[in-house]
Amino acid sequence: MSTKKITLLSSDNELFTVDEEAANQSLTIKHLIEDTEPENGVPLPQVHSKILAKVTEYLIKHANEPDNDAAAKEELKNWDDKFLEKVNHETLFDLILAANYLDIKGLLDLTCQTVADLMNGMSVVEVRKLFNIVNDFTPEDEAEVRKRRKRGTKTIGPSNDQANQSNH
Amino acid sequence: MRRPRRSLPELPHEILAQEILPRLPAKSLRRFKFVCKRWRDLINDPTFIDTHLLHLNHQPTSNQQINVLYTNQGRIYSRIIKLDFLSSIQVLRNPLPSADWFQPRKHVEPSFWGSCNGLVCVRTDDSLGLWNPCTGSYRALDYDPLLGPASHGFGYDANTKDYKLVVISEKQLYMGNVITPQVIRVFSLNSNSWRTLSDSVYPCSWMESGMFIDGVVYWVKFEKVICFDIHAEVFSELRLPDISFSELRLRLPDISPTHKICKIQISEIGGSLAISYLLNCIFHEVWVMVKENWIKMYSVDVLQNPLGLTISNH
Repeated sequence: MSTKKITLLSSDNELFTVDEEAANQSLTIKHLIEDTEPENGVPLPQVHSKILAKVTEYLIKHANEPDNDAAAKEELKNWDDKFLEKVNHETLFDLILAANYLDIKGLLDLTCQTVADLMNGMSVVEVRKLFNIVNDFTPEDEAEVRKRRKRGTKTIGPSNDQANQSNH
Repeated sequence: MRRPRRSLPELPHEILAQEILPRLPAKSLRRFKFVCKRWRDLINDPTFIDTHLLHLNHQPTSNQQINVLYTNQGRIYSRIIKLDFLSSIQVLRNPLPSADWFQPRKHVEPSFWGSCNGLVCVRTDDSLGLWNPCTGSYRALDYDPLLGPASHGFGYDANTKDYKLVVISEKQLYMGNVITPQVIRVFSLNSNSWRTLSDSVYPCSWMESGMFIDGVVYWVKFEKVICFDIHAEVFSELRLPDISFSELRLRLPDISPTHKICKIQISEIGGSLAISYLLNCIFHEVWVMVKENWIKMYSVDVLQNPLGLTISNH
């Protein structure tokens, strides 16, 4: 059985060819094919070849996701971990932007979880630096917070820890 | 070799708000309220809190952890246990962030009146409050001591984004010379006040903490399941799975009838109501409610099949 091939065109005009089944994991690509039936590859002007290479690698690996095979699921999970192991912050952020634009849920989940795990061990200052956020609290605001913390204001936290609590 | 430092690509606020921050544990979120005002407002927003809870409740089982709370000699202890079905249960750490609101007293055990979304409703002999064991924060609630011994349930009303506590006091309670009839009262955290449910009187009493699952508080009593819809504030009943205990008792001939103890316990499995039966530690059966039907999840019968443990996948 031969499967239909789809050609993707990166912003710097490099071509990538994948099976239709792999490409369809991206809802954006799927809709582009359905709506425009492009002849010379699906143009993806927002994605550079360096990132599209990573994206297609992911799409090919995840084209046939195992349903009930625990061993295959485990293998895929290990592959996912390795996939992002040596990726720097810049590529990771670019992958998030690409996964968001191409609407690939699995890849968006994976990359965002990686950033969340990264943030978990960070201080407020490190997080500001990571996302290029300017601290807009005035010194008075911060002094007020410190004062309140010292007094130990009793408030209910917004939500829970990663644990699913079950207390009897 | 040092490459010139390039600034990272900027992620849109929507991705941060909907995809990244909800994956963080509460402890980190609490810290990151101080990143900037926009983040502070986001993290305090009720819609964000719902997204956050949704993420937490859909984590793969292998990552799930349970915070087990227990009391011993008037003190509260907490243990984080990692749930990984394939490996053994691991106790990760024993944290109890500042429970300075709580004064331990020997011989007076605090009791847990229920938990939901990581908040625990705790009753001590002189206070009633909501406690977040992860952040250590505590908020005392008004409590009417006239209510006396009672059944309770604590849950979250997703429609109104409100935490509610329902207290069903004992029928015919003697307080000095005054006899108070059964009263059902509901506390709402949003309005910070108690209300009496006048038209909803439940004709029996029991004294237990209910189990909150997906909008409903459940209790097991009198061989049925009593349900309280936390939003609509109405009671209903469910029948228990069909299981014949008299038959089971006959199969335990060596034990005198008085020692044939059957325990029925209510719990949650994968977001569904579950009932487990335990008969003299010999027979153990678990049923799960799936689409309004009871389905047997597993059964362990040491008498018939000493090593038999099966779990069926649904």
